[in-house]
Amino acid sequence: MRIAPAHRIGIASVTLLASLVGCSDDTSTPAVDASVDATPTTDAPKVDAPSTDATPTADTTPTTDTPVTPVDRPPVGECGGIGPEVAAHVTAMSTMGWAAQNRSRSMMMHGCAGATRPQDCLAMVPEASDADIGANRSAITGAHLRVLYTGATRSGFWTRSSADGRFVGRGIHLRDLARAADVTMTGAMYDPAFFPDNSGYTYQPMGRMCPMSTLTTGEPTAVPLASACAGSSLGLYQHLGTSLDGADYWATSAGNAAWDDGGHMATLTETRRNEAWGATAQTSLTLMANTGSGFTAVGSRSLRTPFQGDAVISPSSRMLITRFVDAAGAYQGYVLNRLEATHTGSAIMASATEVARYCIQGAKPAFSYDERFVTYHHYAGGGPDADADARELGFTGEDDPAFAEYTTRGVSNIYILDLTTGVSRRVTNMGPGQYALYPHYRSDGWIYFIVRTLGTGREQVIASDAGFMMR
Amino acid sequence: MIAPRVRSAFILTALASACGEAPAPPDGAACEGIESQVAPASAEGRWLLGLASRYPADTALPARADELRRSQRARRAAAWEAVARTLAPVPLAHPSGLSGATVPRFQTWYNRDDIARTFQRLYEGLGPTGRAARARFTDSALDEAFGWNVGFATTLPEWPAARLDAYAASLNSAASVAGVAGVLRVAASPDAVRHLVQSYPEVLRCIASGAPPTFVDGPAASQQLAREPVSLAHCGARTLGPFFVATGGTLTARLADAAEGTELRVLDGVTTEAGTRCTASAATGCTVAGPGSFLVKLTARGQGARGMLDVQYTPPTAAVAGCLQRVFPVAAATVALEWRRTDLDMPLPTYDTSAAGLSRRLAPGADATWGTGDGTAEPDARAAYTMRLPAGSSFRLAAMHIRTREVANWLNITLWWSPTPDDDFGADRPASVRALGGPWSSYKMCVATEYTELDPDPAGGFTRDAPTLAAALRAVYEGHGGPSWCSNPYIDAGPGLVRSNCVGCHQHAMSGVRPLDVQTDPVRYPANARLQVRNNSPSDGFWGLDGGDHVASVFAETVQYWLSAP
Repeated sequence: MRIAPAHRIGIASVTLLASLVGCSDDTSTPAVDASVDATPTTDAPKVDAPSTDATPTADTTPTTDTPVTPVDRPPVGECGGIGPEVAAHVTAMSTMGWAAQNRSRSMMMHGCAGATRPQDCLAMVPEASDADIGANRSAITGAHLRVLYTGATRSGFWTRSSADGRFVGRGIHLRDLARAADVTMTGAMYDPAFFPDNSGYTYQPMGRMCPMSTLTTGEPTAVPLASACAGSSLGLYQHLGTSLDGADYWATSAGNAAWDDGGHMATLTETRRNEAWGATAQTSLTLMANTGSGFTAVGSRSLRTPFQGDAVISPSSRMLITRFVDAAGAYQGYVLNRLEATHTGSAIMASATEVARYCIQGAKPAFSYDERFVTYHHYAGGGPDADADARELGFTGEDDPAFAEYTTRGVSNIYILDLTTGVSRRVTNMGPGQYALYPHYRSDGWIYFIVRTLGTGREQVIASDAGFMMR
Repeated sequence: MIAPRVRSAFILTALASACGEAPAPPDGAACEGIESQVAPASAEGRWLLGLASRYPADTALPARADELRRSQRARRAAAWEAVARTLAPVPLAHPSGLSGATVPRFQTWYNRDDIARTFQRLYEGLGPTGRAARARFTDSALDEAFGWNVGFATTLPEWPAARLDAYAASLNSAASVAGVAGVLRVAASPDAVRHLVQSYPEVLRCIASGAPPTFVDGPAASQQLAREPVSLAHCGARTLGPFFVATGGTLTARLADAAEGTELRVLDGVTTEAGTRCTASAATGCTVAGPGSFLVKLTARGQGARGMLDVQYTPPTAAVAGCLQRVFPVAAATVALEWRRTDLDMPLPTYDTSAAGLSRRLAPGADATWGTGDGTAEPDARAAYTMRLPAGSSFRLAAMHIRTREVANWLNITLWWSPTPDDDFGADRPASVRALGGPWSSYKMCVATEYTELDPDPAGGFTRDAPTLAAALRAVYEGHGGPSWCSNPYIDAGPGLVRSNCVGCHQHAMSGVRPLDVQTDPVRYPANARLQVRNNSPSDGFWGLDGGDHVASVFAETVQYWLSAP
């Protein structure tokens, strides 16, 4: 998928938010859209996702001490606008980012023993076949989809993996791929996230921060989060970045997010938001400072991200990507922001400045560790984009008879977006009722994602080397 | 006086009258010094530091071990010299932006990332057959791997020579040079790390099969005799031990010439709940058969007792460090560092370690916790060792543990920053440390080498020339044979840890017992966990294997990684 031709625009200095200082004084609360479309119905496959009362709710929205000014229009910027900062950032990250840092730490990437190049890793892992997700699901010639494992249960909400690719947090199911063993996250409900330096991971609720040694020492079958992991103020929908050069950790958590738990039932479009992403939408930024003997959450600040949600911080903490909507609330694509987050003492100054805008449809994205790419999934089969989606999938349009099954059973595919060019490429070619979801990178460039299939109770965790084809 | 054949001194002794049960520490205590590093030296940092500088151990110290047990003055003098050897300046391996730049020796020592890279290199080099057999590494392989680790950055495409040179040139201040090693939390000398990686088969075996139990039996060694003068007041009591006895061996205890009414008991076990195995008049004595760990308790039922206690026992010949190839070599040394951020509005707390300050914290009813401090300070780089990371974050060294394997239970040294550095625990700072210059004269020091204090002088021999130190030592003295003392206000921050001695906690390293358990279970770990309760220390007291840096998991991860190799 190629986005609209780029236009040079005045992207710089569109500061979406500042710190607690210098903001205006409207403290109005965003309207809450309580409707949710992703709750599995009773006839859907049983899901071990959080129960209703555990589902993220609006009252967990991070509080802000930042005065908010209503903005009466969507953020400025034009589709396809990619500022020069993006290329500069990617160039810097090629030698300084977490992919390079982890290489310099000789990180042992899962499945790479004996491999000379990252793309040679996981050679022992079987390729997808008709026995699982289908033999022809790769949309890129020469790319491989390898089945890391098949989970006997379904998961809820997103899936994330450790930087070394050894551990997969599929909802509350954490899998040690090296031992082919499940580790029960006792007390976890949802939202696994891993630090890009492979030092630890977090789960909700209570923003539990756990050292990676809880998984790598011995052969644990369970990790009691309450005793093995420290509680923190990290809010829901958390994403983690680690400052380069051993300074501080930053985490974002968004009160404005989409409840994306699709694929348990037919899901034809991007899932709806937990609340309106309006003029006062905000993203919470938490500083976990390196105190010398550990990391301590010293404070949070709210970034105003009007008409945006699903904010994801980059591994280096220097970029922030969001999804944005128009004034009517329709998804429009992604905004890439340069994140300026500093502190003087414990006072945090933060701002997000738009540097690129990609008008493509997709769910919450995930950065590559070199920060050149993001990967995301995209639901198709219905809604206003059905015709464009059908064509992108190779049909003549939404009325193509061969597309009919997609319009009832839905589909989700994986995409990779090159942030420097705006070129997006589809990785998978899933069938009707097949949902490739929650893609994310590991440090060396492999992409992991899960596949849910309507009518089955299992999920496959897939590894893709498609990212190497785009370099 | 201990007879010549005595192998181990009387270890656990406590006068009930002088050493009442300390208040149970509240939950949340932590063993000292085992948290993880948070920003270790990078590959480029290692390139600049070069090979870690060996710890120049005093090879005469092992022969002086008994002197150090019995003289606080000799012990402290030896410890200060070990401090000087640990802090001695070492030049960088490459020119930097600061002419003649040096770092203190400990900053060249290896951290978890160094160990990981080196072990991965070594283990891969074994090849499939060697890996399957868990073969030992050859000396030449070890030399090659440590050298390769130093040059690892030069193998990375993102670190061409020009970038490395620019990196070195950017370090143009003492603080930035000090930051080369990162926010190092735990580091080990080259001899220590070499021993650790060479012990990987034993470490893996302990991970898979569990650590040795508290008491490890074995063939009986030759009989040992321990003699200890005892003086009990009316209704006084004293407990001595533990004594470890092998299967087939015996323990015989007797207080010669004891007054009538003096009772001797042999307790079966080392906890406060140990049951009585034998009760007799002290003059008659008791004999019990092994195997087991025993305490000997004397109680003066009558008007008091005085005499020489003889304990003959037959210990097992058991591996002292079952999770290592053998105990660490004499040049092994480790540090645990307590850095504090300087740019987060976090002033450095200060602590009163004078006799008055210690007495207040150790008074009956006090919680024996260092707490948040008695004041605050903002020492500059001249007064506290300070480093700055490339990202700009700045840290000062608040405290550090230094452990050297120059004696059996290590020299357990700890340093802490003080605004009154020449008082109490800094009053005997020798010229060798003062000559280091800079901030190093701002740190006070205490040291322990045994579970118990065997110096009969509460003032440690400092009454005349260092009265503030003498007074402080008196404040923490719990009697001849009572638990020894050494506690760091910044590191031993857990509840109750003003009563600490390092030695007691470190015996549990790699045993499966967690530091939190050690500090919060006064039954199994009496006297604030300061006393010996094991006849073996699985990792020879090195917490870095299973606590803090989790080096054991580095070995396990690497082995697991290669299991997937085609």
